[in-house]
Amino acid sequence: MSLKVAANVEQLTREGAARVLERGGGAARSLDTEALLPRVRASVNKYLLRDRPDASAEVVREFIDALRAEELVLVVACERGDEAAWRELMEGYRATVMSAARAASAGESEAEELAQSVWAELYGLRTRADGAPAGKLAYYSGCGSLGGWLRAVVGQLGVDRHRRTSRLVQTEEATDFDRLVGDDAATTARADGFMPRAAPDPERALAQREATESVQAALARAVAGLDAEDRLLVKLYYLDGLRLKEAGAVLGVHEATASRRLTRIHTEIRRRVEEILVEERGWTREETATRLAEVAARLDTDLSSLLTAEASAGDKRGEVFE
Amino acid sequence: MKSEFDKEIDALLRRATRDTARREDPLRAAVSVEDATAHLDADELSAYAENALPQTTRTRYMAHLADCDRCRRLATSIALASNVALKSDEKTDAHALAPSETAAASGWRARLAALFAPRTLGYALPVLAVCIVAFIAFIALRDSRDGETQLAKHEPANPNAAAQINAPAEVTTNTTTTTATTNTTDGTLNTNTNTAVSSARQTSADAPPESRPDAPAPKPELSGGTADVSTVTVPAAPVAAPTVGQDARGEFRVEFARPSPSVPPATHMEPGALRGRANTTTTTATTGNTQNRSDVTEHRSDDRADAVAAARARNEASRQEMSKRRGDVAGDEVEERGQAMRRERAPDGSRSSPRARRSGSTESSPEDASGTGATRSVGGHRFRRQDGAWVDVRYNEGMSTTNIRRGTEQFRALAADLPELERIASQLNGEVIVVIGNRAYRIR
Repeated sequence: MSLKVAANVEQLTREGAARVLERGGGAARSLDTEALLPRVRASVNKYLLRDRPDASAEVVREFIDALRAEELVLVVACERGDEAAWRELMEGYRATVMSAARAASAGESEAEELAQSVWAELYGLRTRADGAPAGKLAYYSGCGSLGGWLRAVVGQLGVDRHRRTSRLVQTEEATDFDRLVGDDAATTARADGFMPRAAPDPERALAQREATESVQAALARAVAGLDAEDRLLVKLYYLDGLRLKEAGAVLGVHEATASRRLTRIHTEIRRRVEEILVEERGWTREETATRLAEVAARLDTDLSSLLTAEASAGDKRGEVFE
Repeated sequence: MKSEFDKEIDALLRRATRDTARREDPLRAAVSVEDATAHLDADELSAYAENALPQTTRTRYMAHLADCDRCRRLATSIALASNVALKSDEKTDAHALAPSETAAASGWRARLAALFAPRTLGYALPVLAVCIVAFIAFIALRDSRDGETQLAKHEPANPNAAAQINAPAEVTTNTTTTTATTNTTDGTLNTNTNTAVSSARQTSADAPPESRPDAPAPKPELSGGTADVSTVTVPAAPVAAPTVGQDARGEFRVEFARPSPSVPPATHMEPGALRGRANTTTTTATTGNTQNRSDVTEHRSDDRADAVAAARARNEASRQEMSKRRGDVAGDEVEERGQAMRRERAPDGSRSSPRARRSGSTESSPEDASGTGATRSVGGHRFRRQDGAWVDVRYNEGMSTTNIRRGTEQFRALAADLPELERIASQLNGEVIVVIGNRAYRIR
């Protein structure tokens, strides 16, 4: 960024800070433009100029004017030790903090403890080099709502506390794909159990294992090749177990849009998987389609036993395409 | 073209992501703890979850969220809690259309689709069929009624019906199958006038003001559609007999006459009143108690036209009958009097007084008794008030005049030859000069 552009941005930021001060009632809290300028400047640099260094003056103005002026002024006033602002903050957002603490905690007492720690973090028990309290309020930019920011703070503190207190236990268990192969060999046994199991066909079992691993690898690469938004949708839906409505809320789109997008992702993944298997494994198109169907059928059969404990997955399926 | 859900890929993704999570979560968690600075901070998470970031910045954060389970779950919880408005939904769906256009187009399409939905058509088709049947029935019924009305209008009077009316003992109508017996002795005479619009135009010139459509008339109980004057059925029995009639609009009507003490007696009509009613007839009838409403319900539409014609015939027959009963007044005299009344009617539409109508004369001014210039019409002669005497307007000074005095032998002899002279002398007091033929008579 050239000096001229930087000077221009600085001027735009100063003017924008003055507007934020006016909109947020900063004068009533004995604030001036200089009190808000660092916060506005940090927001512009972090959320706008980092990804769009050549943003026009109009874009900069629009971004600044979209900041939450009242909440930003309230936070800055709190940071400056305004007791009235603190009371207003606690009265206005106590319920929000407690709600977020309950969501991040296992019990009520733990939630209350977490909420208290959040208020302490906000106020800042430590002091900065200049003697001012080093509270978390200094990180609020005004880009999002103060309530959302507080929920995020509570969530992060809750995750950190949980990880400090929990042990990492890694269970050693066979992957589903491995178990599928083993179970496939057992399908020849009689249900009454009186007849001994037939000896599995080693060649057939090996072929199925190789096909499954090939499909798995191709699938992982295909998912990795998706763009960020599609990948996020796949993770939200398949990994996090969100419903389409919830996944759409995280993406900022409607449920129907998320459904259409997921269908398109399926098509794209199939195309990429087939390309990988044909080009790298030397399978024909027909052979690829057949093996994909076989693997999926085995997985689908096995899923029926696995998903009994996860009813939500079945519900989601009906939710999308009913 | 709508893409179909790929169940195979869906099953593969479910298993693959679950397997990946089981194998890699602990590792990623360890990495996250060590590399905490790589995570999105609270401000970034809330800004993303609330859709408050510029698109380029948002895309960068999406890439992180797709790979970072911790941040993604935090962002998910914040987004679901904040319930942000779906800003980018319109961008995704609208393509080239503006949001308002998209909403309008989708609404239009939705309404159209809902209109032709099978479920809607399932209800709409029977309703439509019923409406069509009702419309056809209405058209057919209207045509049939129009035909009956035309038939009733153009059909001549039924002489048989007139003969039945003329018969004093019994009157039978085709309409109600009710036998009505004329009763001239019990005094339950009632007049009912129903003048149809078309016939009123014909008779308004001849009829006195009482028979005009705008004149108040008793409610008819049996009416004919085109009859000049309706016939009357007055039940004398406690149980009312139903009557069926057709009104001026051609609609048939069934009414039940109630025996009421308010029925005016026959004596309220003076013979003089009948003289001024050229087209008004009255019929006194009683009906038997055995008539009931079922008789009326058996009435068929085929008889309606006959009923109208019969009513017309009854009117004509009654008129003739009344003319016969008035032995002291010749039938042509009634017409003559009617013409005289029309001539004597004031240009401004003023009407004759009841007393003048009863006497067959008309007054043009209430101050005729004393004022000069007042006129009266008596016996087909028009008189004006002049110097205290009633002077025939046809009188002039050069006529030869015969002077006579009331009550003398000469007057009685002259009255025997000229009955109108006696009538004029009896109706006009004082000195009267009347012109009969080419001669004037001064009556004192």
